[in-house]
Amino acid sequence: MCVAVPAMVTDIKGEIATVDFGGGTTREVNIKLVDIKVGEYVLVHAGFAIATMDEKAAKDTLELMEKIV
Amino acid sequence: MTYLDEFRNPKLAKGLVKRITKLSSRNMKLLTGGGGVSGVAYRSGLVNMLPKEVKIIQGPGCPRSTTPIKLMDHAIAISDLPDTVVAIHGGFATIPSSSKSLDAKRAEGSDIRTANSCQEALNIAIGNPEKKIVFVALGYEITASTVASTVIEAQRKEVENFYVLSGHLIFTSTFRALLEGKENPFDGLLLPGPVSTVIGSRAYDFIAEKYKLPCVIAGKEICDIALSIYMLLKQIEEGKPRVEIQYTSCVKEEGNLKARQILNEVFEVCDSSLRGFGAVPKSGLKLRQKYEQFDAERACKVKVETKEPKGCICGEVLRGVSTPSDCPLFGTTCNPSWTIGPCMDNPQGVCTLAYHSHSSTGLLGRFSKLRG
Amino acid sequence: MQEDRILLAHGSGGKLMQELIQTLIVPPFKNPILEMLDDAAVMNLGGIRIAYSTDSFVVDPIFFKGGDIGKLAINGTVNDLAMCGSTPLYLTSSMIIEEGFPISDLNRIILSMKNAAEEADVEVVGGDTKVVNAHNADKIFINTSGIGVVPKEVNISGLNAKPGDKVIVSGYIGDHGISIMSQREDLGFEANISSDCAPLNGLVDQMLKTSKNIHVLRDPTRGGVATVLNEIALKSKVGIIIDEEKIPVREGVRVACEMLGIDPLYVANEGKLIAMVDQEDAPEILECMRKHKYGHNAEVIGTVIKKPTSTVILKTGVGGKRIIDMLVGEQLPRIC
Repeated sequence: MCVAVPAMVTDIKGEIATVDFGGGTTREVNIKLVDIKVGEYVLVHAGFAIATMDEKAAKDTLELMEKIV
Repeated sequence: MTYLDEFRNPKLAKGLVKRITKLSSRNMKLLTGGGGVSGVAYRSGLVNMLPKEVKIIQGPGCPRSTTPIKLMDHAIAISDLPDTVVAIHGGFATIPSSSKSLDAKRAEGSDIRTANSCQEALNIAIGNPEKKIVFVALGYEITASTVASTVIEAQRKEVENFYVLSGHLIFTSTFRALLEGKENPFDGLLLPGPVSTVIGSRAYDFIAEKYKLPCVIAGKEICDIALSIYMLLKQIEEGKPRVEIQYTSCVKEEGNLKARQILNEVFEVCDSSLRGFGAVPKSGLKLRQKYEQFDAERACKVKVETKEPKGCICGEVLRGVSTPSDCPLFGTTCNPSWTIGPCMDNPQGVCTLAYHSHSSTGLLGRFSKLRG
Repeated sequence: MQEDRILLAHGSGGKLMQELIQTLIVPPFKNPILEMLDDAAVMNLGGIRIAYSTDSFVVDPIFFKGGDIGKLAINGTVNDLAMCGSTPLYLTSSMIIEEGFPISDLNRIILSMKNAAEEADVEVVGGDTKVVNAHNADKIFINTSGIGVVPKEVNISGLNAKPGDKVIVSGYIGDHGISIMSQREDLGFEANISSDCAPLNGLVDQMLKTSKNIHVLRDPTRGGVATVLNEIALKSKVGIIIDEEKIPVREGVRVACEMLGIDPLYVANEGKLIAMVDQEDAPEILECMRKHKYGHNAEVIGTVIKKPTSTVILKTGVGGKRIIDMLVGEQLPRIC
């Protein structure tokens, strides 16, 4: 499915992390497919974290957009 | 940084559209890899803010649309077996088969349950040891890697009643099939971000190298898509087709190596077929011998009969050579309430989006026009 | 109808349910009152207009943040009666209970119904109780029916929307549906959202005192705001255009919808109403709503237009437009 949503890791217990999507929505996800630390952001798909999100890269992309515009 | 709101900034989006308009000198057809990108483009209204020269054509990326009808027929046949539960993602239960959907079979009394992840299906298996639980695994490498991880867990936990019916597909095989078919009126490709986080940008190099098509891997929000379109137009202008990553926050050239390694541990490439393209070599994923005890095809012996619904031209629509309105069933026999083909069953399918854009104002009329 | 069996989607409040009603249920009973298909039937009995409505409740889980099946059952019928401008007066309550259901839970539900009836100022004057074998019903199902009286000067119906009318929503949308979804174990997420289950007759009463030019009232339960707007657009043969930026959605609901891949416009509400009112009176009505406990966050979200008819259009946050259709499949079973 195309549903892949960013969320922040707030707690890790073994293979399972609690992630926060913001606005009080949380769930548990399996983190076996990524290497992650509390406080970092992941992309969540089908109950798993499938990618880590690079904050600097995101900020650079926004800067690029501002520059183009 | 929420990775969402910042990339939905309306001012930024409008500004990018202005720059796109300045760059669009001639008619351009940009193919998207599935419903994710075109879904956002449609829902946000970006599609009708773009200059009329820039057309977004929805390509065959979405697994709801490309999953071969035979896979659903197989799932239907398995659902008739005694003491067997078919578990499938809630949204996929309506995908049409040669006869009826799993949703309709559930109404007839078959034990078909929602499992929005493979993990949920495994939990159903653990909780119901007297039944066989068959998870219908659809999707590309992004979903397949989550299934692979779950299969490894099932083996570790020695679960004996859990099976996977693999309908997983190799994402790039859809483009291989499309482009090798010589039906290539496209100027560039907007590739989806999520699956690319796993397979990496290098997986698409062959598109730029062999077919000289500019490619941009797009993020999921409106500004991501607007920027990606801009980047594509720039590439077209420069005449130097390559694969660029717009979604740099989570797509790398090599993808997610950990996920790919787990995927590779459990699955191997096989020949399969894609809806609309027929048999395509090296387009599918099947369980390796090491994990064959979880293979539903092996464990559930059923007879599978497949026939394409009469009149349905989903194949041609998915290949971009026909539009939804070319289909004799569009909007009449095949509509969002009662779907014949996957292009209408899929809420982000090209026919669904075209159906919702049909109005007397011609609001989004050019959304899926290919010819002219 | 192309199906030969009932599907879950037939109960979702969306397109399939509409088809079921129009093709299978209405024709045999054909009469002008039924064919109105408003939230309540309005009948003229000796010069007095009586509103009569019925609703069944099968929500799972039966106890949830912000309410329970009992509170839902009372408020659901109270609200249906209020949506035709009537003063709800008397309700009946029928229960189908599964063998083995704990008496303590039944007590809890009945107490909750008592409290809800008191708040709505209605009386439960009759009912029925049936018990079925274990596994023949899931815990408890409740049906409530109710009557109210429609004041002489009130004329509210799904047929009455007029071009130029303003579309008002009484508060945050999607709370009930997301609250229920978050408390369903199979969806595996938590959200800090309570159901908005509430009686709306008090709010409607205040609105009617403020203006005689309220044309349509509807409570967007299953199928959400999108489905209700489509129903009105079809019935009144008008178009409706709404502004995404103006639609009040709680942050928690917005995020949960993102995560689930659903649109808040299709999520069920149990304590909200949509009103279509004369544009001249809209500011006054809005002000009056905002003074009420259940209308604090009311907003004007759109306008009724002449064309295209039977169509609902959303103006998106970036200035684009798209058509909002009725809910087609089922988002989640047993949400109400």
